[in-house]
Amino acid sequence: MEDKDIVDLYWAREESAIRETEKKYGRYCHYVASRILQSDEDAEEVVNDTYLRAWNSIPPSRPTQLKAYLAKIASRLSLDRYDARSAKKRGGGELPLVLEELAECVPSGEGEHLADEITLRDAVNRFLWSLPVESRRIFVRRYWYASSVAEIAREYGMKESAVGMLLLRTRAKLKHELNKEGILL
Amino acid sequence: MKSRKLFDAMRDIDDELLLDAAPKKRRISNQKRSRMSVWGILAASLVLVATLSVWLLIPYDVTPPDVSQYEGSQYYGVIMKLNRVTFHRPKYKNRLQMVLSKVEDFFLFAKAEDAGPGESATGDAYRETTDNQVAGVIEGDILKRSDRYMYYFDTEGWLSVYSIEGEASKKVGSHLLVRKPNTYPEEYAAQMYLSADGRTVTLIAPFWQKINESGYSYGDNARSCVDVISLDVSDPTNIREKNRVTVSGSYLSSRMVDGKLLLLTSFYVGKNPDFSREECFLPQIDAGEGFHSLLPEDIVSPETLSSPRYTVVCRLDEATLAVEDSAAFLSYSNGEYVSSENLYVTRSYTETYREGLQSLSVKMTEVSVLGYREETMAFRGSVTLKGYVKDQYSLDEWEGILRVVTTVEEQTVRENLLGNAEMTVSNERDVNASLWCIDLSTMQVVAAKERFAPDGEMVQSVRFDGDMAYVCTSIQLSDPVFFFDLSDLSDITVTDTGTIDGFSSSLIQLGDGFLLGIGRGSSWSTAKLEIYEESDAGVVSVCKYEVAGAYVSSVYKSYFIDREHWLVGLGIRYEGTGYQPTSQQDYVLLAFDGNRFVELVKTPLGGSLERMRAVIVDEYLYLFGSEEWKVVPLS
Repeated sequence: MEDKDIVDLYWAREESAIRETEKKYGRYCHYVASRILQSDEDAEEVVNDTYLRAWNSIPPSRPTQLKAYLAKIASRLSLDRYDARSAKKRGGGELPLVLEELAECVPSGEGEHLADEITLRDAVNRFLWSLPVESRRIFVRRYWYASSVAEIAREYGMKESAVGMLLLRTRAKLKHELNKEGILL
Repeated sequence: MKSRKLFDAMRDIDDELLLDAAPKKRRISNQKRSRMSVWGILAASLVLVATLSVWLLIPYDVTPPDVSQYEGSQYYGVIMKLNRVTFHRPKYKNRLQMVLSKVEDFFLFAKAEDAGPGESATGDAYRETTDNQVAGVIEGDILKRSDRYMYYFDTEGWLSVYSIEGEASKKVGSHLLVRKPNTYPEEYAAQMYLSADGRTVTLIAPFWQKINESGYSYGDNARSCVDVISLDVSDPTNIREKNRVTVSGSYLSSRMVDGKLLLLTSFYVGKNPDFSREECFLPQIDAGEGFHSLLPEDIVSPETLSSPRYTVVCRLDEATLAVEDSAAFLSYSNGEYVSSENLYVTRSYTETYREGLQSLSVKMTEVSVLGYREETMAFRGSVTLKGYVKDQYSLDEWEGILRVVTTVEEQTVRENLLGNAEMTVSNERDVNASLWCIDLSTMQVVAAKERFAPDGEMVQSVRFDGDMAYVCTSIQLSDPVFFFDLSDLSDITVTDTGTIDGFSSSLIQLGDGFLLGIGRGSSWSTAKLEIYEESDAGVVSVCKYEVAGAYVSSVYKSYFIDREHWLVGLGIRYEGTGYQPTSQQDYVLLAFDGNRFVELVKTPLGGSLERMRAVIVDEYLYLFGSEEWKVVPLS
């Protein structure tokens, strides 16, 4: 079923909207959640909450990219849950590694003044659009989807060291761009 | 943590980027095939390198491109300045060096397969819902109201209209923003205004426009723009678009003053721009007849540019969206403050002084003033101060004096020459806070209180109130709040609260000598609201409201402030208390009774804390969030 038709079901308050969403994007949402939470059980709960959030927000929303809309909900819910879990004990999985790697991109303080969320978001978007296609995809897989380097390497038919090198160089480029734009975190 | 901030920024990347990178099923057998092709390509490349070695050894030009061809252009002065600051030296000495560096990536990179109904209105009066910094200078927001309706703009591009009928309130109309093809909206940044007669909503709607698929530079691939759209909302069931103006660049801020919209945008010039195309290096405006560049006389720039970025100011008529005037500050940052007469833009940069092996870097800020009330906006002058400003609340104009609070920062680096290498042996950072008073008639500093905070503390929040100022600084989780008496600039006095747990990211005057601080408490995971009172002993704490394991938004507009009744409302999100999808966050309305906080309302409200808004009308609390809205009766 097309996204537009699924969204129409939400607007018509038809409960089949949830079934169709699960059929089309259930695995994808589970992937997004499991990469952050590293637990199938937790991921399943997040996916169910994602459907609930979607049901409660459509309408008035009418997303044109339903897949991305659901992914962002699932990601936010997963991070909230991860934060809640981490308050008790340090969470495992890829997320701590991802954050450590991103720490390399933090500008060195030669910029103008503290950037707000929008300025930073704009800068990140600009940077991503400027990358070659494959570099961009790999960077987003690593730092949005929190996929492991091994998984990315398998999927793109590359060595893990090559993926690591590509990510290292791209992080350096991001830091350079943020410095150049005078962005402080 | 800073990396978490960057990680959170990644959460809001464009949908198309997200989908393009989504995991796909790939055949494992591609690996074998790709390895064979790698060896074949390696052999061919070695032959190619050997054959083309002379061509590959030709060195790259390391000087900025010659722009003398544009000497006849009215923008030649601007082009020369931009040429110097946007030129990027080639990374490699020659083509051979570049190719060898890329060989490893090329051979190892295998191709992979291819993520209420309502009554018709004749217009009704505008009612203010936004706590504007300056009276009469209206700030845009996502919630506005009139006598009969409330208007809320969400992140999906919907403008929704709700009736004001207490518990019988309902949505009476909505309008989805129409976007041009190949554009990607940035609804998180959108704001709006409502006209005095309640008939027109002016939407400020930023977006991305994709130009072409190829090319690596931002300027070639895509660009930011801002739409200003006026909507006829006189009939909420039939909202219609009236006018639209587009300005190139990212949205910074806006103000509405006496029916005139001041729009501030930031236009960034990418590296190595094509100076034969004005859209690559000049801000442009499309008022319905295609994009036109700003005129050279409208561009103000220093001799040496520190950043290839313009801050652009456009003044539009609210009723017609006619562009009355425009100006651009080249090499300016996005700090701005608007008083009832002037617009202030700031430019932060670093001055470095070297002496032998020691260098001293000092953060500086240049503040420029633009008068916007006259028929033609007029540049009034600029002043340079030590330090950098935090936000719009760090500046204030009062009786011809501009007051500015900065975080001052100096860094001393000592190096040790070791053979052919230099090594940093010490790196000292000196941070503090200063207050400056500038006479606007001369643009000279006439009074200052430098380095008034404990060493290492930076400015967290500032609030000016007539001839008084409150400044909160912090380094960790203990802060003083400083109170400045600015009534006599020749003798500025300052007192502080001493050490108080936590810090305030926002300071708000409640009147009668009471000050409200909102921020963090005794630990990073404690949200705190605290009331201070001025006394002979200085600024003292009166009471506080703390929630452990929780945090609040730092976006000022998400707070509900009622100074008449001493009410404050905001969203609180809980953390570390277990996962509860429906009770994870609340909206709380507190009343200060002169001695303590009283909790009047505490109700779950979903969605982003930053996008929560509240209004009280006739003993009902109307709450709006990005995921839901509700009406709560107040006893």
